[in-house]
Amino acid sequence: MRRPLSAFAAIFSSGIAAAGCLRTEFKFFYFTGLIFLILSLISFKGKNTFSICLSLAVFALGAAALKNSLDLAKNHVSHFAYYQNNKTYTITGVVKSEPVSEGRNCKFLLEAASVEYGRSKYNCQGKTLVKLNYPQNLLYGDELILTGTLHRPYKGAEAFSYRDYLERQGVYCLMNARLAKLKRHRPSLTAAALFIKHKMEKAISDNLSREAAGIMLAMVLGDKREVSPLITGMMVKTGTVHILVVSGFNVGIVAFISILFLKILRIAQIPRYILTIFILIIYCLMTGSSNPVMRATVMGVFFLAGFLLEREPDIYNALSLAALFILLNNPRQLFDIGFQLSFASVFAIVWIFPKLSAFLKAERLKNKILKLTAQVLLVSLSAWVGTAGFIAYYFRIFTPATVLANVFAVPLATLITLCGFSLVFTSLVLPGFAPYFGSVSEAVIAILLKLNTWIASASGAYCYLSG
Amino acid sequence: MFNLTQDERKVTLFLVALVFIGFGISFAAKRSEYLKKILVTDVDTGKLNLNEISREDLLRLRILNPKLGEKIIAYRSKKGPLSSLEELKSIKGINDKRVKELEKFFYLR
Repeated sequence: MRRPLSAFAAIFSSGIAAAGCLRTEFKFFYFTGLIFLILSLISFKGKNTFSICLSLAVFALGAAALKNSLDLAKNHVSHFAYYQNNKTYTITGVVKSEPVSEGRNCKFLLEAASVEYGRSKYNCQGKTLVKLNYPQNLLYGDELILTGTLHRPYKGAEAFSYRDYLERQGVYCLMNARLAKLKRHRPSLTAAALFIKHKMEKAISDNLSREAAGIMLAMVLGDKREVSPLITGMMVKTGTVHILVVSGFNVGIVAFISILFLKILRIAQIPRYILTIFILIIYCLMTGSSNPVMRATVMGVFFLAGFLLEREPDIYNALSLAALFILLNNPRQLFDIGFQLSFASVFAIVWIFPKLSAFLKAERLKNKILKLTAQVLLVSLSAWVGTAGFIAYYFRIFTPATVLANVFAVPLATLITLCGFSLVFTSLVLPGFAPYFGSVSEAVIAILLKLNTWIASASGAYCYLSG
Repeated sequence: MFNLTQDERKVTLFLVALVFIGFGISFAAKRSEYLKKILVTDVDTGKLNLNEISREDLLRLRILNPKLGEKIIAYRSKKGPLSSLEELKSIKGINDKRVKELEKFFYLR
């Protein structure tokens, strides 16, 4: 088999999807998987029997992985949280996400280690989303003692359940904390990556207007907090909202810049690729390790490792490895919109684009500009075909303007991202030049927004689906 | 004079070109208000006309809770186009603070 990883990823994902629909317990899938594994060992030399048994074992493994992830430990922190529970708890734990200020509050994920109420103290585990009732300069990796109330997130009546969303991230309870005491800071690679991120944020915010900085921060660092919901809404209508998410495209730019920069520093090929892999991992941590970034980072590392090992990398295998990497870590991500859109769009580009290009003979165009435009159009069309079903299902919107909008949005987004990285780099090395890089970024962002507004207001650009 | 490789030349050219364009933009923006409007991100980008916005668009934006959104649509249907966002204060649940928030997202025409 030329692409064993693709087959494994597809079968493993099917197992997760099937387990999502069935109420069967973990033990059933686990022991069924074990039986098929033994059968595949017995039929080791038989070609078809071995393949069938191994496939069924991987299928059961996927199902078991999901059931296992749904089964919470007995001392999970969420067991202390009940609806309308006003007991005051004291929790000791470590900050596991970048603390975000929201008005007078501060939000972050806490990996709980122990919980106390009254005179009882228990060891516990699991993440809780903390809302601290006053702003405080907390950092990733801080070990804290928090006092407050625990409760479970409400499901809500809307199609997108906040509770389901949090559970997919492994968060089953919320804490309203009133008091926080810092025990110590635990240094980590993520904390270092977030420190670099703050420096980059400052460089961007200092040189751009608030609106443009919000968009630049989303595109370069994956931080969408400052983007107005109006701009997001407008981009959803034109199908260009993907440019506000850090994805493979950004990871590719980071890899390209890193390789080029290290080459200029005359660093030999092998250490250059190893350093680039390290930079990609840092960038992944900086941007919050979301599904699209994780996918792109795993694919990027796979490709670079392929060069190091002198093996020709296969894009389908790289994509499958990325899927397996994410799903083995958290099988519930299969049901996440971000995961589905990210993999569907890349798969569609990789699979549909070459076929469309060959069918329409785009490669034969002699005029370079025409050829490039045709390629951008076909890539955009392929991605749209791959994701239209998911977008219609989740967002109840059909966006025919996507193909046209992306023809200009993608090149402009490339330019904005390049300008963003240049701006950050210049502000560190030659701060006097940074405002000029800022002017170019500002202008390109303004043009992107104006074109988007224009397309979104055209009749037939989008339509809402009923239901 | 410049002993640069092909890649180094590309990077240098890109960065120098960006500085050139940046100079041009900052010069043009100082001289012409029209160009400034085009080249600087508008604070009002994406703002919507509350007199024209459809019910579906308003509810999907998630700026307001659905109940309040429905009340605004009902008010608009009953009283006709709004002349000022202050008018919305007659709806239960909308106060000065909320009107200020709405000003960030809507305009009236």
